[in-house]
Amino acid sequence: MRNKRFNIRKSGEKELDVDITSLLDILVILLVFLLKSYNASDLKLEVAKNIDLPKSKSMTLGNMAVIVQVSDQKEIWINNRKIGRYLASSDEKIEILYSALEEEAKNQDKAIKELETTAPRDNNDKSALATRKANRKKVNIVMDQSVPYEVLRKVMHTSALAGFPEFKFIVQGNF
Amino acid sequence: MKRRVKKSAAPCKPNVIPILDAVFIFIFFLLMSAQFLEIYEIGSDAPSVKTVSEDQPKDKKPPLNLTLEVSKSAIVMKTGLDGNIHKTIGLKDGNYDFDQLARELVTLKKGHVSETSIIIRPDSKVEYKKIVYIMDTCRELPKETPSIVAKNDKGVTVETRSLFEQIIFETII
Repeated sequence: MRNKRFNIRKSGEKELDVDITSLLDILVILLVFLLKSYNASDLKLEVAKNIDLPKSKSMTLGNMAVIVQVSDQKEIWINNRKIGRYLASSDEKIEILYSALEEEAKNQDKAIKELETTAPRDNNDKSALATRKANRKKVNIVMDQSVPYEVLRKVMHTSALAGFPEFKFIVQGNF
Repeated sequence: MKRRVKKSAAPCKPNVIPILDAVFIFIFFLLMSAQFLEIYEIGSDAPSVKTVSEDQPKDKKPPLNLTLEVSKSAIVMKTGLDGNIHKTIGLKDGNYDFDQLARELVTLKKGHVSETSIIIRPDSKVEYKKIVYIMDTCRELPKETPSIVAKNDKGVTVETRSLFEQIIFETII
């Protein structure tokens, strides 16, 4: 069977000419679509279940920093790790969030110190250190749109106490 | 001199295989890095405290100190250090009248073009979604509104499309 095929090609018959124009058209359209949806932000976010982000006109791209998520059921995540549920109380500080953020702050400080003590090898190391330092006090707040301000206020209060006083509200764009 | 054109020559076919390879690799790269949910951020800082000594010269113009008190039924705009009520914006079709809020903010910005900060004091029960709408209205001019042209504190004419970008939540600490 193989020999037969081989012989046919060898016999000098015309080579099969595939028209790839339509395939190229599809590829170009796909390329344009993907280029449009490309996001240059270094913020990699996995929005937790039951979180419906509020829509906004903002066009400011987010930056990588500690991420605090609160769902409509008032469950709390830090950097995609569930830490518990918010329980209404008269205290302004959310204890579980505070202890988790404090630990995160310690880890970040340690990482910055390590980067500072080891001599930067190239420009990438220098920019990594500068980015870490710039984002050290930032906290990305990802919150369901139905959550009342009381919870947001307590999250902000706790974050500020734990050493993250720059709040970045993550919103859904294209509104 | 006349050039001879070969009429019988077969049309030249460019070799597109290397381009196709490059395009395929590019598509995979873009597919991996594509984010189909458009995510952006709105910034806000915790309020900071600054001690001002008696010896320091006082500002010629009194500060705007614009504060929005947001309750479930209205937005109260307050200005000045004494917190005088500038305007109360009620509900319209069950939601805050954002058009009126934008108009009032534009009027205030024209008088204080160098001012960039606004204090928001929402009620505990106000939904996060509504706070985001209010922040959006406070930050930028609506698309259909022309840019603000006014003289700043130094007497220089400036043109701007931003309103009060620096949002501070008063009740945090």
